[in-house]
Amino acid sequence: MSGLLDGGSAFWIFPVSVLVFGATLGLLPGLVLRLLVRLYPKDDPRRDELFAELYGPKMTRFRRFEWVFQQLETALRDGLSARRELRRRRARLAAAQQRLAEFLNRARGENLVSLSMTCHRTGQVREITSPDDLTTNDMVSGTVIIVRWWGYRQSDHRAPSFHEPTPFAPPAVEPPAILDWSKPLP
Amino acid sequence: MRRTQALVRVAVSLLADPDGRRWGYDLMQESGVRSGALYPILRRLLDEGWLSDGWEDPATIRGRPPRRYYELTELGLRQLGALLAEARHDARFRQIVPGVAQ
Repeated sequence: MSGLLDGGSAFWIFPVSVLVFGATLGLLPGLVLRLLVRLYPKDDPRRDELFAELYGPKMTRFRRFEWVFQQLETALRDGLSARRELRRRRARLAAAQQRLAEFLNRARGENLVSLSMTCHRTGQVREITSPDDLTTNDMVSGTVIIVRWWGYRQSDHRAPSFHEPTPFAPPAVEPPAILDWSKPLP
Repeated sequence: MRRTQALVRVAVSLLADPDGRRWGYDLMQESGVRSGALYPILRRLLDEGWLSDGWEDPATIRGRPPRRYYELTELGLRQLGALLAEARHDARFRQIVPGVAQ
């Protein structure tokens, strides 16, 4: 009787082992990676990138294990530094938006005729129309926000000192940037 | 950007095919840089504007999520080229940079 029972339990060992092996091979890397990418900020594209690499065409099933465990280091180094950098950029963004808003409020009282704002981010130039157009992605080191204005109706001593306004004509010389992230914020 | 062994290795891999699209996993295998060092380098290169990125078109793939690719920008081509030119004169990188007399 006991021999029969042993035989019965032995019968189940094989399919259960296959199931456990298959689940380990198929599900475990994805589950572990899903936990690891939580170290990255919520909207960080690297979360999707690492998943896509896990299921990429050149990744074999057996290689996935090693690769996923390597991602522990990646997530700790890259993910946590991405979180720190995001916090830094948010602080910079808030400061930049406040500074631009203050400037625009002041400019409104100066009978300003024309104003343009440009964001130079690592070689890419983008026009911005309001402080809300700036994003955390713009807040990398080296970003310069240039505000140009011209066409004051009257000369005004309260005009900002970093650019001498030229009445009714664009400035001949490019005025200095009022925000330059290559330097520390005042 | 500070010259490190990992950065020079990644630069050599990127400049081996300057016009092509590169994937993180492929770069890892080609350069021999482990992913824990590679991905922070790619992030820095993106922030500096030396690389641009994008995603595979989902219509062209089946049964897997689209991968993120990296492409060298004009600026990146110049800067990484300059970095390798400097690395050629540095004894630390003799084993890595091609075309350097031992």
